[in-house]
Parts: sequence; C-alpha cells; structure tokens
Amino acid sequence: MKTTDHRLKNLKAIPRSDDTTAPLAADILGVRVSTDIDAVVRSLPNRSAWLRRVITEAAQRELIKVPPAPSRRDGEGVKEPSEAQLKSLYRQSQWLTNIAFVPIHIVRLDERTGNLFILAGNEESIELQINLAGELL
Amino acid sequence: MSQVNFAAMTLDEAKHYFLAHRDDQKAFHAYMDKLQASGRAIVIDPTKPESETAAIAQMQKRLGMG
Repeated sequence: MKTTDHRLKNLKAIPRSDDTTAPLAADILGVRVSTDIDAVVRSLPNRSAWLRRVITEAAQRELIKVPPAPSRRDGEGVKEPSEAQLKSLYRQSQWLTNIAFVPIHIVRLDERTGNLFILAGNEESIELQINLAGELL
Repeated sequence: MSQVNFAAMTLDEAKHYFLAHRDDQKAFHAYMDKLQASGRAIVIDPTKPESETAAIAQMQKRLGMG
C-alpha cells in the first residue's frame, strides 16, 4: 500500500484486513446504524473486511451494475445444480440411505455438462447421473 | 501435471484412478466421459418422475434387493 496523499504521510501503515488489492480511498466512509445492527456488526472478528465487502458488493450491484463474481474460478461451465436436480438428489439420497441402507461416496457436478453424479453402494456399484433439467440424455 | 494416459484406461480403471485422485479434475472428466460412453450410469431426468421410478428399479437390481 503506497500513498502520496500528504494527509496520510505521517500515518503508520496498517496491513489491510482482507485480501483485496484495489487502491483505497483516503477518507473513511462511516455511518451510524441502529443499536441492534451496530451490536452484531461489532461482534464480527474482522468487521472492516466484512463492511468493505458488503459495501463494495452492494455498490457494484446497485450503483455500478457489475454482475456478481462467479462462485468458482476454474473456467466456464455450470456452477451449481438446478433446483430440479437438487430435489431429485434429495429423493435419491433419501432412498439410498434410508431404504436401501447403502452409503453415498461421492456427489459431484460435472461442470462441463451440468449433470450431477452420485456414486453409492457398499461396492460402489451405483453410478447415478441426474441430468440437467430438461436436457435430453 | 498429470502424465496419466486416461485414453488407454478401461471404465473401471478410470473409476478407480478417480477414486484415488478425487482432486484431479482430468481424472473426474475421463471417468465421466467413459461412463457416458459405456451407458452404465443410471440416468435420471429430474423433470420426469417415471425416470426416477426406473432408476430406483435399476438400483434395486444392482444392489441385489428383492
């Protein structure tokens, strides 16, 4: 963190509380909030990082209209299962563990196809694929 | 990183390699591709209840139930 702002030259640099790298404004953005909100925010172990993230996200979403960052960084593809897949996953999990009494070893989304893969059974003999909703086999 | 020749593996070899290397994305993809090609996976279309009924019948068979 390097600054040339004369107002800051005598201040000791404090390490940033999060892993953001964008240059920070010289002035602190501060507001008073209701006592209940104040109490929960102050209870956070790292409230500066939290406040910075929450304000940044809200400003990007509401003021700059930046789409939210993807939840995964490893390239393109489907990031999470659809609602129909999740409901089916629940039904299969329920059947496998409460009716068939077999373990589930792996649940994993193939991000290339959006298909949900489940490996189950004592001998790992159940290879189940829950397709992305509406997609043909 | 990976020098493994997935193309030369059978479906079960790819499956066992993936189970031993679950953090290897290439191993997962190789297993998924071979599984897809084999037609061995029990496939569900979550929008079609009958495909779940059929899947449960297949699972019962593979688990030797009933």
